[in-house]
Amino acid sequence: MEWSVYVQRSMNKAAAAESEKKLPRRRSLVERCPYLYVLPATLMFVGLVAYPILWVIGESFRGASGKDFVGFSQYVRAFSDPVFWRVLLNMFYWGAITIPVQMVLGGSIAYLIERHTSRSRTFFRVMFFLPVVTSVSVVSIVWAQMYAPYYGIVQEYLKYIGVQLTIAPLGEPSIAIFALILVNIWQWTGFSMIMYIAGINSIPSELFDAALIDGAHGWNLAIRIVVPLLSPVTRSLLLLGVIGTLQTFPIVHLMTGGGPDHASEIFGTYIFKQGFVIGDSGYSSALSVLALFLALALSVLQIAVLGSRLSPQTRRPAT
Amino acid sequence: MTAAGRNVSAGRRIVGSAFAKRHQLRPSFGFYAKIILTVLLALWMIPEVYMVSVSLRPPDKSFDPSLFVLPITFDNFATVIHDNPLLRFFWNSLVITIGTVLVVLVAGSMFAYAASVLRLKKTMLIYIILLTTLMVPVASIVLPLAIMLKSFDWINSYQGLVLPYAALGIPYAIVIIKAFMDDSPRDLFEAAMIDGCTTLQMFFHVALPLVKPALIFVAIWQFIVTWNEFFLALVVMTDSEHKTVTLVPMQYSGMYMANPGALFAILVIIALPLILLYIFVQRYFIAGLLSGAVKG
Amino acid sequence: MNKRTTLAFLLTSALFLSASSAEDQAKKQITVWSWFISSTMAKSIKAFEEKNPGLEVKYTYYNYSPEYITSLKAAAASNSLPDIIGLQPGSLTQQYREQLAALNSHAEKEWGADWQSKIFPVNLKQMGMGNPSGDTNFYILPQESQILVIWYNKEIFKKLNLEVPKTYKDLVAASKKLTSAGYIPVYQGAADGWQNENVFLMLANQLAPGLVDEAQNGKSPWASPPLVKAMHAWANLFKDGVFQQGALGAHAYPTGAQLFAQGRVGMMALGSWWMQESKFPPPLSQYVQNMSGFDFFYFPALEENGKSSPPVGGIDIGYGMTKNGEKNPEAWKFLASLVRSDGLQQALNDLNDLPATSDFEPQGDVTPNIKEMYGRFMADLPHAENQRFLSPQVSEELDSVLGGVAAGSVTPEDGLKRVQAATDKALGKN
Repeated sequence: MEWSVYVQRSMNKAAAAESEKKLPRRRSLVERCPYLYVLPATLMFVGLVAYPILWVIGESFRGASGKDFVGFSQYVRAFSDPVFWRVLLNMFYWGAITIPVQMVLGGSIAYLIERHTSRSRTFFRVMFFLPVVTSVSVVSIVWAQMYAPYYGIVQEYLKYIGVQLTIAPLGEPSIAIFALILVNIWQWTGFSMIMYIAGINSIPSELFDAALIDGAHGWNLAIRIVVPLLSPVTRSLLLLGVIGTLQTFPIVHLMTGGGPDHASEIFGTYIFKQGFVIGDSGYSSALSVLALFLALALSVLQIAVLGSRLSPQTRRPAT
Repeated sequence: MTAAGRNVSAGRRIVGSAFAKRHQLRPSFGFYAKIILTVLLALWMIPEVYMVSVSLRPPDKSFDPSLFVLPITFDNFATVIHDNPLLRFFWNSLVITIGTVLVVLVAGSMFAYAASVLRLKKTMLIYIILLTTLMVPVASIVLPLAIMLKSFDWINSYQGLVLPYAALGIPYAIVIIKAFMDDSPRDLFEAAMIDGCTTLQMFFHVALPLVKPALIFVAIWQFIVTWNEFFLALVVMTDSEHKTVTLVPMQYSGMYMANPGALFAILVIIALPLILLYIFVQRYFIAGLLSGAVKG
Repeated sequence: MNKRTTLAFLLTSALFLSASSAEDQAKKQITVWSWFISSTMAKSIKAFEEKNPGLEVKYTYYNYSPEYITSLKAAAASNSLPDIIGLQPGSLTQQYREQLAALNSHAEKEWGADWQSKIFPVNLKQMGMGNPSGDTNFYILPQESQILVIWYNKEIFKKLNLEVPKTYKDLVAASKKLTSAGYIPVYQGAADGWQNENVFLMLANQLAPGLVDEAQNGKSPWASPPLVKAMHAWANLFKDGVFQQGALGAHAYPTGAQLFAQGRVGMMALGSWWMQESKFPPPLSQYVQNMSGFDFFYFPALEENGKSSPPVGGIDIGYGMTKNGEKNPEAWKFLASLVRSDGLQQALNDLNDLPATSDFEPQGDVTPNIKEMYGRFMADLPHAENQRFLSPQVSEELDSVLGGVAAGSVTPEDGLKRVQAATDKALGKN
């Protein structure tokens, strides 16, 4: 067992180092107060995250001028604001489409790469991940160009097979959000892929061997054996996907600005518009708090229903 | 040992897919898989190829609707390099990013250790609260953060970005590292305790090595996220000595200075370090995972 | 290990920090933020620094949205605004009025008691837009003016035997011809609110000059017949093929401007600032070179015996001095130079836009055709209608409605009702 040999060796080293120490052992600070391990992360959270959140909550009880206290009226306003409901709908579309599609695509690509390539594996792993590290500015301009019916490259090449785009996907209120969703999928599938690659690689090969001996191969193997084993990865991706959906901002802002006429408005763009363009920081803060609550509620719901084991590894040794 | 048993133990030492390929009953699906992957990749890469292509075009052809345009010119790269003290910006980005990664790794792994291995009381509660960090839209906290940073006089300073970035990145790191630690066999830690290790020694010599893949993953992920971050950098770094590299593109996409070639050139330049880093590190990442996966 | 490396990095960065801040102590500094093009601003700064040795101007360029408005807001909230900031009249100035210094006394001292006399009337009006009643102070000093027009590519028109359209019918016919010849007829970046707003203002002011201004001030209803007509005309621009297919997904900058400069587009609704393209660093397209391939006209008459649109415009960009800047005795010097002295002159020489006052004009290398176009602009500037909105809620709602009407998801009448509601709300707060 290479792995536990390695650990055994380091433990022996530790034990040896221990016995070489002069007596009596000095108990370092962290031994006396183990909560010091927790301190740095907590401190940073309290100072740089908790305080801003509280600030935002405080702001959400103010009126447009930022000076008067108006209680819950900004929240009430949100619920009677048609744009708010449009935002919720768009966020629902966004999450409901990007998360499963990215999982299925990412997972399939990961499976193909990990189990059916050897020499080209690194190449594929790197290339599919490229969009994830590509900056949003370029993604937005490039895709805006690609979507343009007049001079876009998609149009240019579609010409050869006789298809003429008559609409601009980004300019049609009913389609804009889906056009944006496609761009998001293009960019982030590589992330799901990486997580699944890690997951697939951590399935002990005995399990594969045993399944193959039992007669499962190809499709059967994939669906009946591998997918369930990857469920922790899937759960992670679901959790991160929900959170990430609610946090989307630059891609929509740069491509459509939330338009036309709020057709592709999402939380990020609406909060930005209200807070920075119109200057009503009370309303934008209320929207932020609502987004935060939604994320919290959905995460708690997911953990309660699906369980919280998020590790991609199954490290229990076979028998 | 039966023939099947011999095959099994031989198979243990071999990575899953080679074994699968050798023992499949049909002709290798691997060939079709590669075709599918290549076609998919070719389509997937169109925007990337377009980006590089535009960065190599003269201005009159910037928006020509084709993937490749000749002649290519390196003028855009020359413009961008000439207009901006790129070395300084790269240095700023590098310091801030590496600083953030280190802080996240240290603080995140310590917290995960306390929550998962030491099982300190109340850490689960703090853990859940910390998770709310992930759900806050950055645009919402830019203003209060700016106010806070100003009061510490951290505007235009490295710590003014490193610490907020770390604070925002630690919860995700904790989730990943804790998950790996949760999965490590308890008996190893128990044995270490019995042997008289201090918690610190156990941390460095047992816990961290066990979760090396997680650490590498977190490091890469945090690097990418921090390197590409824009909003906070915009607000915190207002003088040109401290700007990061992600703030350069906006000069080329503004209202009057329409220079898409230069814009794409700088974006290519910004993306390069990330790509190189990823290519370099993913070997270790996968190697780390494999060393954990093969048991026999 | 990890800790040592962290320490090493923090130390190195601390060293770096202290090194860089030491150099700046020598000269007195003035900090400026704006979205004004860096290369031209650099010339203004150079001219100023030559006349004022011992002073150093640090300029930070920001893209207007989202970068500039974000940074301004964050700096305002944390009280770290620079000395001088670029402003647009109306809503932007009002948002920051409380952090801005009143400039009247400085202006009087600098240019005399009649300093307002040479400022064009529409600019003066915009300077005070949104000030609470009784507040006669100005918080913004205009640097440049602009007029909104339709630019067209002379060469393409000549090639296709097109005349400058005199009526809307002509415009539609010209657009058809351009489209079938493979050009974009009128490039509209309808994904951007500002260009839609500009075209709508051209239409509205043609049918009823000054009515939009009255409507935004609550003196006339938005549902007045001329405005309804203008909204319908706006929708028709999309239906009749005047704007390109997919305009709602397009952006004016960088794509539209790029294509227009390269001769792929027949017409574009821009403004007097377009002339600055001829002063950009090479390579320049044959059309942009000396602006020889372009000329402009006002939006043609919608009805057969109507008039074309009047000039609409006002302040392009102005500057204000923050309360931080007031504490800096040198800040005013730069502001004054920028809006009405050497700094302004440099901007004009780059043809960045028209001046805000009538006593300046571009110097240096100006070709006859540019001089001629410039002369036409300057003749029209004194009569320009106001293009600015004082409430961001109203302009945002108008932008959304224009997008919706263009997409066909909102009727013109319903759209104007929404703008009315936003106006009522905004005025109710005052």
